[in-house]
Amino acid sequence: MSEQNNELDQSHWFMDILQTIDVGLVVLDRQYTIKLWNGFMENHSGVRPDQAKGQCLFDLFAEIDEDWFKKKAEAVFLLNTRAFTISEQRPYLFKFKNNYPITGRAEFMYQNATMIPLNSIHGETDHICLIIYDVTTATMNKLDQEKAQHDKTKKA
Amino acid sequence: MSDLIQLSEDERDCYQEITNVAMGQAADRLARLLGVYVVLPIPNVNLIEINEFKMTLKSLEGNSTVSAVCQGFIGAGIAGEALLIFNDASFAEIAKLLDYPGNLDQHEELEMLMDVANVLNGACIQGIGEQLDIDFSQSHPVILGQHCSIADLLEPNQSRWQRTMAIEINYTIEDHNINCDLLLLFTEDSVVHMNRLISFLMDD
Repeated sequence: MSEQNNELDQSHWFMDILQTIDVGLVVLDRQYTIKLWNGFMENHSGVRPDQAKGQCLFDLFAEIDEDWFKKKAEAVFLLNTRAFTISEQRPYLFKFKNNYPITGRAEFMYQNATMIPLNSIHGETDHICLIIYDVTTATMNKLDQEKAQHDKTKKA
Repeated sequence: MSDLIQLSEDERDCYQEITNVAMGQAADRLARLLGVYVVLPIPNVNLIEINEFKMTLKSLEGNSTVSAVCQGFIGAGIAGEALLIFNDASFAEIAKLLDYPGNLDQHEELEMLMDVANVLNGACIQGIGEQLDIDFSQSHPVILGQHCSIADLLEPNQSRWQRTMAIEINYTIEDHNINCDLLLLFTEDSVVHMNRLISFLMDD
């Protein structure tokens, strides 16, 4: 009995953690319908889970280049491997505000993204999980560095 | 250093075999994605010193410029990096296969580099992990450089490591001028763990 309670406790923890973790989590099916939308996504986009679930990702977020996204995602569905995109490819997938709206200089949140395949109990990859990381600080540092380098060579 | 790691002939063969299986899966995936036949060479397994490492890289380069990404992986006491080195001359052909329209600027080339890296790195790392029963974590890929010479790619000047186990795989695609090298680099302490893991495989 206590073991069962333990498991129940744990799944509650997991739910809390998924909701609170400072990383965006979205589960999509084969038609790119949103199946899961965590707290990070809700808070940054202003779209509630009940508004997001059941909607097509591209209908809700016009900023996502559908062809580009599908190209990456279809490979995940087809090959059952993870796919990574970095902010050098596209600064962001979702146009979210920078986490530091007052002191920060970045106009938006730079993002890295990972897509991982999710398998059904039959072993088919019928869903993918999209994971969004905020890489604004690292990117701004890198841009500053590049700019400094550029200015230096220009002066020389 | 007194206790340098060593590889026996059997262990080397075993790593080669494991890599063969993993890259076979990687090639199969790449073939399905691109719809082409991927030629598989025999992987090279070597323990190399830091200075030999630069030479290995140099030998991959030939006389053209390259672009490269690397991706870290870690799990069960084993850590390393997958380094994908792409000959710049291959981009035009890859663009045709991957269906990238228009003129190829640096940005498009980065997209293709990432697409190929995702498939090859992912399949190889997963393939090796499956055989050793490890679910590796993979970090985000980092661009080491675009259109540069290998000497500029990395400066292994910090001597945080002495030797590395390098598995070198050269992929080519039949009837296309496409050439890329995947280097799987394992840290010294990982080799100790891996030798223990493969000893179970070698028993039977």
